Amino acid sequence: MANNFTRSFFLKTNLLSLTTILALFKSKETHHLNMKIFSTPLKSAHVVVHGFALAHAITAMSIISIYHTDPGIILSILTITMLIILARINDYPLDVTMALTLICCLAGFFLGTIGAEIIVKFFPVSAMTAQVITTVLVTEMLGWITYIIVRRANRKE
Amino acid sequence: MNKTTDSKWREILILAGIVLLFRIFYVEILDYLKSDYQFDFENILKNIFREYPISLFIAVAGFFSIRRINKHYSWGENPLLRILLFILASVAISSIVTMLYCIPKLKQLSWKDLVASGHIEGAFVVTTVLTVTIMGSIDIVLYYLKSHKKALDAEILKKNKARFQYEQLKRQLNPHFLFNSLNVLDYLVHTDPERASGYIKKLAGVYRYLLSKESDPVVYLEEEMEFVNMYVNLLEERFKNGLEVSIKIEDQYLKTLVIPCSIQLLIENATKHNIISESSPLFVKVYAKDHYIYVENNYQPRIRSDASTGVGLKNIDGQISALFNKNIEISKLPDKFIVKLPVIENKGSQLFFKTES
Repeated sequence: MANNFTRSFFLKTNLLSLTTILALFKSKETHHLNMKIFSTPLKSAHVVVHGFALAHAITAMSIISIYHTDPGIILSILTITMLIILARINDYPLDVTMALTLICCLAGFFLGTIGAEIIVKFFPVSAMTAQVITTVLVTEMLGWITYIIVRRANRKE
Repeated sequence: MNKTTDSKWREILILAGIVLLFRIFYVEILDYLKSDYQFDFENILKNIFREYPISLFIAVAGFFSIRRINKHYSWGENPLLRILLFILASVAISSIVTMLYCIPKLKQLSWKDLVASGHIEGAFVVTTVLTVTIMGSIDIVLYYLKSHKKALDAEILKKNKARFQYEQLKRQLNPHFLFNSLNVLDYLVHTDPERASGYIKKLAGVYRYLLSKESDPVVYLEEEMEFVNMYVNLLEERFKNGLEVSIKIEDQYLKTLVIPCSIQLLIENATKHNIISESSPLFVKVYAKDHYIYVENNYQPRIRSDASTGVGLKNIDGQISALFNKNIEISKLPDKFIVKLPVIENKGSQLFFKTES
């Protein structure tokens, strides 16, 4: 029963976080909320990067613990979404966004795999914990690197 | 939501789909090759990096492909087509590199064996990943350099504009011009009140033009010449027979564009730096030829303790250079001083006439 509760809790939290993030961007009702949260690009970047790092962690935890399978594809979807949002906030061109997203996706995949192996090697934690920690760190790193690139390239004339 | 937003969302979804497909492709294929053919991704990657000609070919081919794509479609315009060309270029380069990598192995294995052992597929996957990474990085770096240059050019233009506007403002309030004009006016009021009235109107016209055009980056030559005529009339009242200004501009040039007060500044410079007297009159000619406005005067310099700084000419040159990527030409001959201002054709320059807030 405890197991069912945990599964249900993780699933609901996961769905809730993803829905909230999508709603913030699409909903007309929260438009004024969008403007308040995203008043400056840096504020927006904080919300997006930390929000998605949390989403990555929750997703990784829930998929590994419930389905005992590799959460790679779902995490990639989340990473792609985060990078596109960061690029759109800063009016980065779509074609260059694609190049950036491709590279970050590749980097995320390899860093995630290698990072989890290293953590398990040097710290006494379970494989799931190692994956969760790695996914959070890699998401934060990719998010901030992307933000720096798109902000520096996008100077207003 | 309007059509543009819908199409933007569609483009974003397609972009996300392409990236996701690519990610699935290389991870799933890699897993399949690893399990079925005991394929070693790191080993092939190391081998490719060790083959310097192959690595160099990927970098150079990638660079020139991106440059070629940029020549026809700049960043942001038609992004889906650019992405398609990017994919085609990377597939083409990966195919060539795969062939270059596999051909030496034909000494030990036949084509059939290479295909059966998964060598070709493995090499293709690795080179695709490498090519996409290199081409993507080049695209991002080139875009960054371009936008950095754009930002720099915008800053230089702003700086030149600010400096020129400051200089214009200084000249508007130039006490010497006003002082001399009022002196002439004082003389006319006592000797010829009718001419004095005309003189006041022209003086007012000059200042009205200066104030109305201070924030416009360019004006029509027609307007500038009306202003120059008023200014020249004021000068002729002051210098009498010591100054003769002839203006000959064909009708075809009247709708071209110039920097406001540029021609007036050149005439003012001529009167400031040359002797003007009845015995040594100054002749100033303003005419148009070969897509240039010429301001020419006979060279009879004043003996002054303070040399000319050339700030006025530099400012006009900076403005023209920043706006139109052209320069003024100065010719200092023994008996003549000529300044050539490039004529700027009016090609939909309406935006220039919006005053900045």
